[in-house]
Amino acid sequence: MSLLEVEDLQVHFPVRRGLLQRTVATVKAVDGVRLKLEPGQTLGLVGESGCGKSTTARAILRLVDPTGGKVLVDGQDVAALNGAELRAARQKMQMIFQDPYASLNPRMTVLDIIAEPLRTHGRAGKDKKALVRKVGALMERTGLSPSYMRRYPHEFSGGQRQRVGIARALALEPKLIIADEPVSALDMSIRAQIINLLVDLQKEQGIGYVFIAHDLAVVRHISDEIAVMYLGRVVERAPAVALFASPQHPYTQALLSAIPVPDPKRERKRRRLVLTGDVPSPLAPPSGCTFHPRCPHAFDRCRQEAPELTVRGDGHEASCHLEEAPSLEADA
Amino acid sequence: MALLEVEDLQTHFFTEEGVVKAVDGVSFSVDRGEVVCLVGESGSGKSVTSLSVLRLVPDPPGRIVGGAIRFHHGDETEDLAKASEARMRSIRGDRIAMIFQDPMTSLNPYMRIGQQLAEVLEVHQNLRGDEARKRCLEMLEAVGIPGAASRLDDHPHQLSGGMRQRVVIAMALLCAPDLLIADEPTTALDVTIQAQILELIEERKEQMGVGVLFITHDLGVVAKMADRVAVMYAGRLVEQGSVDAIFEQPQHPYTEALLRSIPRVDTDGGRGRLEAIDGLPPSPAKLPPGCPFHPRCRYAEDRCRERFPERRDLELDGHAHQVSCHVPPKERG
Repeated sequence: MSLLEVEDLQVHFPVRRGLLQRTVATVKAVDGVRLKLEPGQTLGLVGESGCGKSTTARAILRLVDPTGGKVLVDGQDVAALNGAELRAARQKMQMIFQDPYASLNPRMTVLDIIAEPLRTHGRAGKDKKALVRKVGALMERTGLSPSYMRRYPHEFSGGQRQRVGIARALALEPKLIIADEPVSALDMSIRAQIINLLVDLQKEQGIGYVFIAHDLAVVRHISDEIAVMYLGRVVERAPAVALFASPQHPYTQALLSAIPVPDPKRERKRRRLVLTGDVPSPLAPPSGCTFHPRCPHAFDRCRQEAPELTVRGDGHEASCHLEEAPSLEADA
Repeated sequence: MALLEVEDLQTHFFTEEGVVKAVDGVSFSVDRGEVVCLVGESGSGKSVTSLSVLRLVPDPPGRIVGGAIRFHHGDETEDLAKASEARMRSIRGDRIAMIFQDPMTSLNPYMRIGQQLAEVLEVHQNLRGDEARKRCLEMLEAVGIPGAASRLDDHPHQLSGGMRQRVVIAMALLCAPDLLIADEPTTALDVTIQAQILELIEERKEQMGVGVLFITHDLGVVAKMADRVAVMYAGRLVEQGSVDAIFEQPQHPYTEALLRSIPRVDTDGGRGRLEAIDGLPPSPAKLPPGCPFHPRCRYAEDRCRERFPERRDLELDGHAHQVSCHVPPKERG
């Protein structure tokens, strides 16, 4: 059984205006997303701001209520749960946030922050010493000295705070962790430390990750499979290596081509596929394929009809009317 | 010819806890039509360096306590470290322009785009009315703003982040500056928008011969933009040289470690461990003695703990290269 199966997930937000707060429009932040994650694997979610990747993550955790579709965690539909059942299911899944400054309560000690999920779910037990030992072990596991347990978040650096956030996420021994831009706020010499920690924890404990980031090099490094989102939809899904080796959707191609690589000689030779224009407003998405106004290969059908995800290779799917991926200018 | 020569710049902050040497003896230069990337982590002093050039360091608590910032324009050379505030006001936005990470640092939310641009021309070139409006329009078109004429009457909030940054660039280029200082200008933007903005800066460099001091921590952006690279660590400039030499034959252990620690999209990495740099960058208020990188350096020796290494001048790849490290690459174990 898959650890996570997301089927036709939809999250729509009403836009209300005026005195009576009438709904004047609907933002389809997530519009028919399908994802799958096996235990101990990592699914990377990439896309630009407003593509719905964070909303998808929040809907999986039920931090926002889905408008439609299913979210099966361990076979149980989280989208349909309420009350005590939802609380029980939530112990299996945890989140690591982008901003280690904003996601830790500044008035709580690190001990209390890491112990909070255990207390909330009634798993702290009566033995205070055992709880302190447990928190100490979590701190050690995430590379923090347990002697800092009584300190407050402001006494830690950004990287250390992210370690506190990870220790907190591990407290309930979750099967699924959603990491939303976990390293993008960190200094470059610290990022590798945190990425290594996440990879080690996965190997030891078999945790499945949904890893959201805009840094595609990081996503490629950590992910087994990657889903590319654009305006609330998955436009391409593939094993990480295949996605980078032969991107099928013109948007994926543009996204990959836009990232400068840390090699000046290659950079000089690269011909870049620069997209014109901005991502359209999700309030008024374009007709047909929502990427068509920015797509260099768009033809009539793209303006009228939204493409479905179709198989492009082993475990590789893309939603594009072109039968073959447009050829990329040789990057030689 | 050098456009900007910074020599032994020292910018210190005088705080209750003591003196913070945010920038401590930094020397580099920027030529016309050249992009110099200043690379470093938070607290390395890269932003304070750029603010010092513009004399925008808040005083108190900050002060330029030593060094020279020689700016050559026309036939003149002046030391900005000693220039009066009135003189600086006439230079900023005219001969030296700046782009910050957040475009709203430079834009007034209450003013229409056209007014804000025209103000620059009025202050620096005494240009008003239709003539000014025409110049603003041309510049907005040059930076690729679609429907530029209708945008002149917009307020900043009506534009997307990428469009706002374009407006800021247009504003920065209005008076055809000699030097452009860009402090993380694309960090807040999506990658496809970043690509557009980087192309735009490159184009301006080539067409107008602007010298660019580009501050970033993204090594991919450095590889794309830089002619030369200066690497900062804990307030010191530890290495500088041509972009090829920095990436292919880094001489300083910090540069080398940084390049090794990043995952890359262009190689077959797989999911091995990244070569992380242990430890944390030091707080600028509590620097270790000697070379500030020694506690994290795999090659550190006794002398590294005792004194800061002298700068060594080398030639690599046909270009001048400077490094401050006691242990030459051949002697590293």
